[in-house]
Amino acid sequence: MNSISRRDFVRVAVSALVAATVLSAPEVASREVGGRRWAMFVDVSKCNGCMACVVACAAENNVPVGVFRTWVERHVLPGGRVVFVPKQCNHCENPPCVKPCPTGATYVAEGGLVLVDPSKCIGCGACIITCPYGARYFNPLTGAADKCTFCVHRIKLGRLPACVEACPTRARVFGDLSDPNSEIRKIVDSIQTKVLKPETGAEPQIYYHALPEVASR
Amino acid sequence: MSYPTYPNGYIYPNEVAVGLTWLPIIVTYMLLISIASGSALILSLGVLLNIGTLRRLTPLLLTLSLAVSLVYLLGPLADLRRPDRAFYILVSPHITPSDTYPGISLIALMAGVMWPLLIILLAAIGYITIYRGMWSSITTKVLALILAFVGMVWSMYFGLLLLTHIPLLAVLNLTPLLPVESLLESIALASSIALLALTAHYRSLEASTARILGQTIIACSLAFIALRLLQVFLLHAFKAGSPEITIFLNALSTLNTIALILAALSSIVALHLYYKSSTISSSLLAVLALLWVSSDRWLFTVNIQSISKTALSIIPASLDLAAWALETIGMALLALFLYYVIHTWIIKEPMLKVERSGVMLGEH
Repeated sequence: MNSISRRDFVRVAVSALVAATVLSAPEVASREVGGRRWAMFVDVSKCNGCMACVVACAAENNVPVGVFRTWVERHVLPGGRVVFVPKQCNHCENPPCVKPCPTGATYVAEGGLVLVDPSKCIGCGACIITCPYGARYFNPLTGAADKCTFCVHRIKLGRLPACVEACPTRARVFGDLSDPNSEIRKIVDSIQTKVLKPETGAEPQIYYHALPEVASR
Repeated sequence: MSYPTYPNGYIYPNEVAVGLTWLPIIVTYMLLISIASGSALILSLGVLLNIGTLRRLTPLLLTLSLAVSLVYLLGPLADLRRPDRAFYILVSPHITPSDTYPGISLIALMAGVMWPLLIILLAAIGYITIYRGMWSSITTKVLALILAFVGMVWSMYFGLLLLTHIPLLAVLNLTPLLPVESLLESIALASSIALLALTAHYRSLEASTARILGQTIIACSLAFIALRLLQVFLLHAFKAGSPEITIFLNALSTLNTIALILAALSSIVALHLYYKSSTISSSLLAVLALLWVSSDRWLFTVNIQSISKTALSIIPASLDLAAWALETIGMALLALFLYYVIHTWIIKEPMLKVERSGVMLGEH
């Protein structure tokens, strides 16, 4: 009978471990494949709070009643002026919600989109609790975590997200930030913009113009 | 610097819909984790440092840690919205970072790697020491060292989980005090439960055992009080005036005071036990330590989740306390049953053999 030395055993075990790690490594560097960086620009001064984006999103994505992929906040400034601020998932460059997901159900897809694979989600809520923007919720129909996808099914077909298409004042601009000729790139380069809660280090990819301090939380 | 105020509150709409993301059952399983990990830590230190009194407690601590370890993952299972998929944590844990899956999931690491490791180490040390009597061998020491590390990580898990998952705590920068506090709480709680178990088994306590465990509880509770007061001082000193600290202190201060009082009472009863061991003091100490750690766990899980991510309002959430109580009782009874089974069928028999052969534990 062939006997195996301890050294051989260790070598085989280490090789097997390395091979298993490499083979199980998921779509490494998928963000770089397309070379795109999807992002959104929101001009708060143009939003009139019509909620067309909220309705369009709910209709497009079958969002259950009571939860929101996008919502519009109403803030009253000192002096009485009212501003409306649309909010949603920020598809962060450094997404805090992806790290804690124990099963890899939440992941960063091509173009920097932060997506959820509902078939892998165990409903632990780690991503919901970690998202600093309150953009995630438990989908009551599936029990899985859910959120804005930037309408990935539409942008794959070259269409705009439903909320952007529905906005009557063009308060929302969507596009590829890595393309120097894109509208969003030109706007972000030429206008002063802000992001929400920069102190979290999440590097959100929704850029706001005319965002008052009271609404920046 | 002045901060904006929101008289009517300001909450994200999804927070209202979700309410408490982690249900109150988290308090129960964090308590069980503390008992299991604290026992494992004391056990490993007894073996590593060759402390005779602690070494004599090995069978009891081993049974306690093993029984509770086998039960505590039922807690998160009760918390999952899709428990039918829980096995994904074991078969595809997110523990290797990549561009698609950046970072490492602490939950996956603990449930998928550290939990099986804890069980295997406990079983291995139990076999080597109790069955084989190899108390001082290199293998035993190495295993005890690894167990000490695993036990310490599990003991700190509560603080680590909160710091890495709750943005408010990260903003308030409670690192590293929170994980250290949970470590101290785990050791104190495990010591007091061990005292209770000893009292239940033998109806009396050996003075040396009562002294060493009492001492441990006194040290842990006093250190906890000191660290918590330091934490409150630091928050007041460096973050005063911010909306985060204002709402944090409002939501947490009452229960925080209760936890501090219970920790102080625990140290007083442990001091009494140190000088005069009695069954009443040990039972009282277990109850006090349980209440102290429970109130602190409740504070940092249930209360902290009720603070909106805007840090400007409290989320109106209803708690299903009846379901929580039933789940807690169920888990405690199952742990008790496993303790009985392990003690009677796995530990007691070899112990009796050792006693019959005239060799006392710890004298190999």
